[in-house]
Amino acid sequence: MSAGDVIVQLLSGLASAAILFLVAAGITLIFGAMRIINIAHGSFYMYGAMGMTTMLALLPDGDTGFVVRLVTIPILVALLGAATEVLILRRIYNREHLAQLLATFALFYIFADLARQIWGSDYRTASIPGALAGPVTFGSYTFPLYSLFIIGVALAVGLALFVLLRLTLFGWRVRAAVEDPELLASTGTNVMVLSTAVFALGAGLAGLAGAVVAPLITVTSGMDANILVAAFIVAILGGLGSIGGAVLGAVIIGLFQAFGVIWFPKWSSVIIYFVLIMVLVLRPAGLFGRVE
Amino acid sequence: MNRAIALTTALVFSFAAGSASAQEVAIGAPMALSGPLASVGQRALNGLQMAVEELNASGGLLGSKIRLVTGDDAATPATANTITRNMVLNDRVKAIFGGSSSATVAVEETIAGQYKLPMMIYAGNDISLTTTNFNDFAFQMQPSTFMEPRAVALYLARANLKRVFTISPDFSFGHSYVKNFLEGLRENGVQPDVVGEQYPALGSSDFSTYIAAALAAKPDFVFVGLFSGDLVTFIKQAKGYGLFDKVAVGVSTATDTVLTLKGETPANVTMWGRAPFFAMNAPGIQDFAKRHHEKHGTWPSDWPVLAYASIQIWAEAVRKAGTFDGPKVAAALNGGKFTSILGDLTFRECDHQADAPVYIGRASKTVDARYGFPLLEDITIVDPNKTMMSCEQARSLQKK
Repeated sequence: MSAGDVIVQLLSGLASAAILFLVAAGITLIFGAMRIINIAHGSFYMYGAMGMTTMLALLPDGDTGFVVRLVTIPILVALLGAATEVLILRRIYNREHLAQLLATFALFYIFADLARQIWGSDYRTASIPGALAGPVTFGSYTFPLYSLFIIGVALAVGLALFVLLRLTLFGWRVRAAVEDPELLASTGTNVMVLSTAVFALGAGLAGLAGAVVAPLITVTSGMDANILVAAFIVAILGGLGSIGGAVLGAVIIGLFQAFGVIWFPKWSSVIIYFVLIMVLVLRPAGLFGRVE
Repeated sequence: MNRAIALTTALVFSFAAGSASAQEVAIGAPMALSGPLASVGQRALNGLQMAVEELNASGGLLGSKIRLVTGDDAATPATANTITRNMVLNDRVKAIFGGSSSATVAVEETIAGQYKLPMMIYAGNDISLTTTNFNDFAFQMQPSTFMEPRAVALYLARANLKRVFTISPDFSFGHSYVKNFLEGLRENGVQPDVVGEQYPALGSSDFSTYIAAALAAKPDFVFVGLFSGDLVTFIKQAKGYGLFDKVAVGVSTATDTVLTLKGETPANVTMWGRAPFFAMNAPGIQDFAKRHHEKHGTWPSDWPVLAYASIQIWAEAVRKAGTFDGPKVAAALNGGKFTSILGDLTFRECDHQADAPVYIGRASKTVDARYGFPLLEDITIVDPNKTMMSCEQARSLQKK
């Protein structure tokens, strides 16, 4: 491989990592603050993508419409997440983990069926906005401008999450909830409202991932399950509850996938599982996770 | 009192049996209506429903109305097994029409054989369906994974390919597709270096690393065995990498692709398909396409055409047999020649493979004003007799 090929492959891996990070960040946030493994998280990703393909009369077309959708859809998905948390999940916090897992599993199927009722079974597409549609060329090599945009969105979200969790009162409370939720509650913090906010934020991140990736894929039922496994691997690899872990986990998985298809083509579809097992053997709680 | 109870019980059971009344016959169509192949299932369902509606509107079949029973197998063999058995045992279907993927069709085919029901295979074309999984009741309407890639290899024989890269889905169909394409090239005197063979998972949403790997390998030709939604995703992503400007590429499910991408279809890419209506002259095909467009707001891809034809052919076989009885209908299909919107098809006795051609051409640079999508140019219709597996070889692979 030439240096140019390596750069293209590296950027491709980082573009994959960007989407995985956006979805995994939500999973790890929710688990960290609420100790819930949300199997329905992929549904929020799918709804974000479906929303992007939906032409609503109120939203303009073209580049402006793209920006409006990109801002609106994650908010709508976050509201869906909040409603889910308030109406359903809040009632099972005190139940055993298996019951919580089954509840989110049931939600996964309900959301999938609802999506089929709303958008049908056939696949849907969205277009890349004109301003982001071209390639970036360096020498004889080409890389999609839109993929660079996706990397940029992930970087911006990562930075925003860092600021939110490290430098704001909300972030302090979320990190306190991760460390010791009972102690946090004793300080007078309304942990229920905090849980709703965290769940909504996690759902919104997944919705943003779906909205951002929609122009690059065919949006169809089944995409909720497809992203879920990879996103969970990233979250577990990085350590459930750790945003920094989600970043590193996503980059590791993205790059292993990118170079794995070249170096180990026969194993490319399972390489991420090898990586996960290797990391867990060495660090059972993930890279930045802590054994409870 | 006992008589009343007995009568009531008989009445209840006759309602609860779920079977067709004397004037109604059920046929079963398990298919993917969710998951990565939902588009295949949904599009095929449109064709099946149109065929059944039109059949019933013209008086039904042998004096009976036809009732279409469908079920969502999500392209999962275990679910296909349950749904198909349900159709056979509860709905008492008289025929099975399948499916959405070769993996589920294999299961449905086995059940059809167990219960001696004729099965028309309109989607799912792995060669195993007519060889290792063969039974007396399933009939393959499309070119198999032995034939279709060989047709492409024959088409490319003069291109003097030196370096070939393949990308195909990671299940039986995908591997068979590539194997037979490479064998087809060699059979036609082309001995390229295979500079990469990639098998992404079915339903992948990210092909970027595979595309980058293909470009890094610097092939003359990229053979893409992906289909339907996966293929559209692949093309959308590959355009960003300039793949189609740098390398000759060949892709399948031509009609599905141009219908979806429309003006975004990359020009000059080699495309092939099983039933591109715009390139076909068979009786009734253009009329069917217009009716499909009026009813569904979209022109038909291969799947509704094949599915519609499957009902046409089965109905003709039932008329020939004079009965819905499975073994008799299968006997009528076996070796028989049938006319449908696909044209004339004959099912070979040795493996029940129809002599179905492959249509290959290049995507036009311009969108056709009639249809709103680019058509294929310089179409070659590859003679199926040049690509079919010999009966001798097919029989040697079939279970005794």
